[in-house]
Amino acid sequence: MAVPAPARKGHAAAIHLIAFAVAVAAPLLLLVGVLLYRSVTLESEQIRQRIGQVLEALIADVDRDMERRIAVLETLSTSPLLTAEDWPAFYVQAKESLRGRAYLIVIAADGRQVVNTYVSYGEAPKLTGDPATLQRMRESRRPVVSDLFTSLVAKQPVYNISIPVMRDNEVRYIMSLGLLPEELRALLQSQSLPADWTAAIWDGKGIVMARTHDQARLLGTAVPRHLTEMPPRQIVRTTNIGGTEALIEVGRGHWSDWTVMVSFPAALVDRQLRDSLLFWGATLLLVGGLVVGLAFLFGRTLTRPLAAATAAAGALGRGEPFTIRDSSIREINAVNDALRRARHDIDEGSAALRDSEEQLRTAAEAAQFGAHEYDVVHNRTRRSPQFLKILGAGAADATATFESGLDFVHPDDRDAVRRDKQRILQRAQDRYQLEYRICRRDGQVRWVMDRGQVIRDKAGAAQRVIGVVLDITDIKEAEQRQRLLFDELNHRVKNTLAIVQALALQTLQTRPQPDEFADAFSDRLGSLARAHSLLTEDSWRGASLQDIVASALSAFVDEDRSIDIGGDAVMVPAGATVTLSLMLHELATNAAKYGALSVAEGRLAVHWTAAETGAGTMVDLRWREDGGPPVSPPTNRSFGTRLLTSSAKQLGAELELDYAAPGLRCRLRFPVPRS
Amino acid sequence: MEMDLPLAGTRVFIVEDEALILDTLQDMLEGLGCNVVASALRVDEALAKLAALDFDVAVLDVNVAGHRIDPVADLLAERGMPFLFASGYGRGSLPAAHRGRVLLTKPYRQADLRAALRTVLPA
Repeated sequence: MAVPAPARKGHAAAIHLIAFAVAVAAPLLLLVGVLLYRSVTLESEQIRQRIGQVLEALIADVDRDMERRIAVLETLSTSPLLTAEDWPAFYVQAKESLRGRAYLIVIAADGRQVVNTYVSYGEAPKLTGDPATLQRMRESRRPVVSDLFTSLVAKQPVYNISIPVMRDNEVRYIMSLGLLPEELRALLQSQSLPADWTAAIWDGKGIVMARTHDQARLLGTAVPRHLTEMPPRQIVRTTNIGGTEALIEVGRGHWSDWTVMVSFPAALVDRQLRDSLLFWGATLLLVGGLVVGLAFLFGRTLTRPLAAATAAAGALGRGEPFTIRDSSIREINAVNDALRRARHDIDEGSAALRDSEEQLRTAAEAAQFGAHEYDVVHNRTRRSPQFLKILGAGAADATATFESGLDFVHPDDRDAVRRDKQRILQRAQDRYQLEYRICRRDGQVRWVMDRGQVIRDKAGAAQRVIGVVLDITDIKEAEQRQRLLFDELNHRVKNTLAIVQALALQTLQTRPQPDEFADAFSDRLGSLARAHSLLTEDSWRGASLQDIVASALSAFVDEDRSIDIGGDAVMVPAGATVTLSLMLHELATNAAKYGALSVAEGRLAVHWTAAETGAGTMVDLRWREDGGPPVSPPTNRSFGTRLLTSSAKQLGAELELDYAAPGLRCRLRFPVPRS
Repeated sequence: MEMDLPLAGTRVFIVEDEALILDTLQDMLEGLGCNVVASALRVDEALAKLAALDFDVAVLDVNVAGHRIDPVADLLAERGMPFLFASGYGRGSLPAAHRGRVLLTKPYRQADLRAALRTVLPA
């Protein structure tokens, strides 16, 4: 089965969270940006407005100042002293009314100075220091404000505000107020502009007259052309006199062709914009960082337990142990619970399965059941290791087809088994039991019982056959042994009865009298019974010669007499045991009647030796009577003699009977075949 | 004993491993006027004696000292000699080829023996 490759599809949870946060934050950040931009532009607009207002106020101030000066001049021009051309008196009057703030100059139409209050009366220079005003006055006949010029008397830059004094519609005199630029500077400073603002005034020739800053250094210097050529009442961004970038507006007053300028440093405006931009950028960075960080953090709280659950699921799949801790996310905890439940169920299931498999295997091994499964559709049989063991086969025989599966069946049973199995597959009978022989790989023939169940589809067609095979050779052999044993028992009973019959018939021939018959027959039956008792002790396998002899002679031993018995250890088979017992009984009976056992001082010894031969053991048994009455060979063939002779024949024995003077000597040499 | 019997002079061959039973059978046969020409206590002994033996009928034990009587029965059947079985085993124990033969079940009476011999001997 193909294992699916590790999932790399899709994006990390953190990415989704970041996307979510960006989607939420981006419009907000944009809004912040727009607001910042609006505030920056608004501020800039306000500055511009303020520049205009300040300029207007300054122009108004300058104009008002000039109007005041003009008013002063006009008041003086109405003086009767002037009309009377009483110059010394007028000088005094003017000086008093001006009080030193400015000085008054009166020049005649031809440029001659008449009065100059800057110096003592009579010391005025001959000609005017401001011929430009004289020229303009002649043309306009209106008040004139001069540019900056160097005063002949004050020896420093000054400016004049002048009015014409008319006589008969002619300019008779020109009356001027001489003023120091310091006056203008005070005017500029009266607006109390912030330190970074600059205001300045330059005259019609572009010469600086007053400045809020650097007055001393720049007074009298020329203003750069780009400033003098600026259109009035428009804010322009350019370099100011000091050489720095500024927002500059210029304007002209009513009375002069001076220019008033207000300048605001562009750096401040720029800084505001820059600060706003920086603020916005910082906000962006901060929010972005926060978004990513939080997304990563929350993503981790999400992905960590997910990764743990994934790992746990993997472990579950591989059947390995795992532990998972619950997280703060309910849905993942539900997954964890499901995983734990699955593990629990699997564990219980597999433990139960292991147990049951173990039990089954143990049971199958204990019962020595071999299992086989036949897949009908693919014609394939699989055999369990135990089955292979039964077959004496190796792993190569673990699978087979229907036909090759029959190879192990004994050739004599093969056709029948094939027929039976085909019939079982075709018939609607589901359970079967067969017994047949198999030939193991090592050549052994074994009996097996093959029981199984046919599994069919709905149409009744056989799909699979599951069966077990049990080696029943032992059972079969036991059955056979039992049958043999029963047969044997039957035979022995019948045979014993036949022997009893023979004993009865033979005894009857020599002891026809009922009393004698009864005694003799009972004795012989007793001997037979003792022989059987001996055999029963060892399951009819036989008895030791020692026991046979002792048992046969036990009836003839009493307190006064012992019989000397002894020899090599020899096991005698069952049939020979009965025969030997009967023979020994006849010898003993004879001894008791006529031989050593018939008298008190008679002695009997039975000794034997055993010698190994090729076919088994040759037993040499000697019966020796002593101390009895003289013996002689029997005259007729008695029962005893006949039994001895024919029994010896039966044993394949050599029998020697010596009716010697001291007592009967009997030698019996018989073979005991190796069992 | 009944001496006036058609069995008189019948020559009998016995195979029986139990000496006592052999003696008794011999007595019974002699009582019937039969003449026991030979007896064998073992199968190989029986086969050896059969080669040069002239007799009229054979009485065979089935299990002779642990050996089955089959080869003897087969040989007799091949020669067309009449024979009967005397066995403690049932009829099922008889050699498969001779299961239809006369069977004397041990122990048996002299009368049973006589009847059996009459059955197997030609009239």
